[in-house]
Amino acid sequence: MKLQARLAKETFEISIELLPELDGCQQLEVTLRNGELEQRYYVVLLGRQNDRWTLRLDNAIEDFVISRAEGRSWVDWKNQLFPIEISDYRRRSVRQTGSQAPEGELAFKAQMPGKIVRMLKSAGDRVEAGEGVVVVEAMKMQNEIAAPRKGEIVSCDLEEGASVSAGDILFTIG
Amino acid sequence: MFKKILVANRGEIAVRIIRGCRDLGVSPVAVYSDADRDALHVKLSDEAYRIGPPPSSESYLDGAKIIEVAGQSGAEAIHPGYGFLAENSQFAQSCAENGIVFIGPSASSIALMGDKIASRRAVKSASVPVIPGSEDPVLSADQATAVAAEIGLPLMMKASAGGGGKGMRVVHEEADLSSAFRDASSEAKTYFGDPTVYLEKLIENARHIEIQILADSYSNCIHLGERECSIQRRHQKLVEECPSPVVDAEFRRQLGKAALAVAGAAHYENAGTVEFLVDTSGPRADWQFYFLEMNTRLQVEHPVTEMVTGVDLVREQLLISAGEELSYRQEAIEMRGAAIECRVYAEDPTRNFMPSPGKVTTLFEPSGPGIRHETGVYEGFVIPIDYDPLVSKLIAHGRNRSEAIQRMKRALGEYRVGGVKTTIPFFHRLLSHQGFLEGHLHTDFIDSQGLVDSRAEVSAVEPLIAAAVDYFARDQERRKASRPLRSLWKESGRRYWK
Repeated sequence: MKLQARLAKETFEISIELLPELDGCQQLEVTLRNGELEQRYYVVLLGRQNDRWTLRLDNAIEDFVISRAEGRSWVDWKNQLFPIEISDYRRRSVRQTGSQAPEGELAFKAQMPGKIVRMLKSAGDRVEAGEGVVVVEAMKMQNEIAAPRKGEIVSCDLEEGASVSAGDILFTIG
Repeated sequence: MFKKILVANRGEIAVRIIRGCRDLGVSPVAVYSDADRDALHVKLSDEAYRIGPPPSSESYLDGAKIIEVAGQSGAEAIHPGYGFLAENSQFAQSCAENGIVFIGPSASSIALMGDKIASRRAVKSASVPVIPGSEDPVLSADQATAVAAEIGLPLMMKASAGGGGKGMRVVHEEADLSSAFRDASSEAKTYFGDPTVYLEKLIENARHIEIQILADSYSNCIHLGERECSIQRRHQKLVEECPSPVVDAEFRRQLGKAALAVAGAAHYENAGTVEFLVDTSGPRADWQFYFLEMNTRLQVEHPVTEMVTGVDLVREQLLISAGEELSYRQEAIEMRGAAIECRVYAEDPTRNFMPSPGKVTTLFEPSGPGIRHETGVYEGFVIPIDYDPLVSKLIAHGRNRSEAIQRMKRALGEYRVGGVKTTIPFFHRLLSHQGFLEGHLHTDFIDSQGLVDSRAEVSAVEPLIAAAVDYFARDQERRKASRPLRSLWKESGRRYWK
């Protein structure tokens, strides 16, 4: 199987081959390619419980917790979190791209469910990057959501007190 | 002692109090909102009652409903925990009127300390220093400007009814006064139903050091030393220690004396905490401390004091409320070793501690020598969006500060949480930070030391391999799952079309 992975702005090609079982454990050969560099690893699957994995990489025992969110795999390794975009060459064409807003406009979506406390701008207002547009309250915190870039607010039609879900468009900037 | 106590809270603190009840042979009664049907505090209780839908205003803040449930269950007392109704004097008053013991101080003590402006006056008259600031409520942006001219910038705008960092704004520039006034009073109105704010001079690079006190109804009042709580984000504590790395026996005695004076001024009974802002920027002889506020309840960080003094604070709370005398005299309080607590929140530390609610898919709790873990979640539990996203409190105790820190690092290294992002990676960086290890702490430490940065974009081979193996395994599972269908189709095809 051939995969493509992105971590820290670097792209890796990864191929995985199933090897014969070793002491009753699945064994894999994983080859990592990053430009000219190529490295081969022998991986033994020692255990897995839900999303917690114990692997032997060459001789070292490594413990991982892997969750998926925001279209990425989040690998928790040695108490550090690595966001990895990983895809299968066959499935790459199906991957969604961009936001739902028309081209040239940028839709800013709610990252989590919350409540609109105050609208600081309305449609037609010019904003500078970093200027507050809307105040959203989530998990007992009021957060001022700032414009990600300079532009004109194209739409911004939420009412104060309205509830928003994760992924709802808060405002569109043109 | 009571036979039955209702615990009017949720999460780890409800679990802690339930355990405290059991240790005294008291039957614990839980309450829950619809978001918490499945919560740990419900599972560990003897009886549990639904009090409403998820929003706290319709459940854990509904005092009338909780008192009704207490009557229904036959509970003689209510322990409010922290947050929610813990510092609501009207609730304490209603408990008394309904013949239920409120496990905490009297309604009048709560009311006095809950009104930050009135408490500043009371504390000042008890000869304990307060931060220079406005004596009266600030009612308009113009008035704020006038007061600012008097006490000078930078300053702190605070909600009179506030606490926990809500309704609080730091103002550096005069131009920001009006927007700060608007935001602080709006937040104060939202959270506390009272938009009143006041101003205090901002003491920069100060430490937050607090004193735990216990007082019974026989006028015995003792202090249990200090906690250093300078590691904060959004004015909320993240890491607490006992003792403070800088407080010596003499300074502890001074702080303790001031804390007892504050408790005396409030006619305080039960467990409480007197918070001080301590300016340690000059030489030791010039250190200044100022009364910040008094928390009239059990604190989140109470376990560090318990680990070092050996006093079970929840037990003492229950005994005091049952009318018994304190189990300890001041001379019996000894500080043994050092303890540190990390509050593990479901928050993304690389994105300014943004909440990260969701289902806890993996939870492995650390243990071993000197480790204590307080949590209200378990594997499979969904952390609701309606409340504070605290996953757990991890506490490490050792012979001294460096051993406690080393044990904390070991425990964090074992700790695994999957499904939600947590503050664990942040604690790792903090506990390896030279300034932290040397104990040079102040309330802006996290921001000033660049400990909150954007997502750490580092590359490593191991996580890439793990992500690939995980992807491969899921792909295999998908294929396995779709195989029987396909072969069934083939079989039936063969049978009918041959």
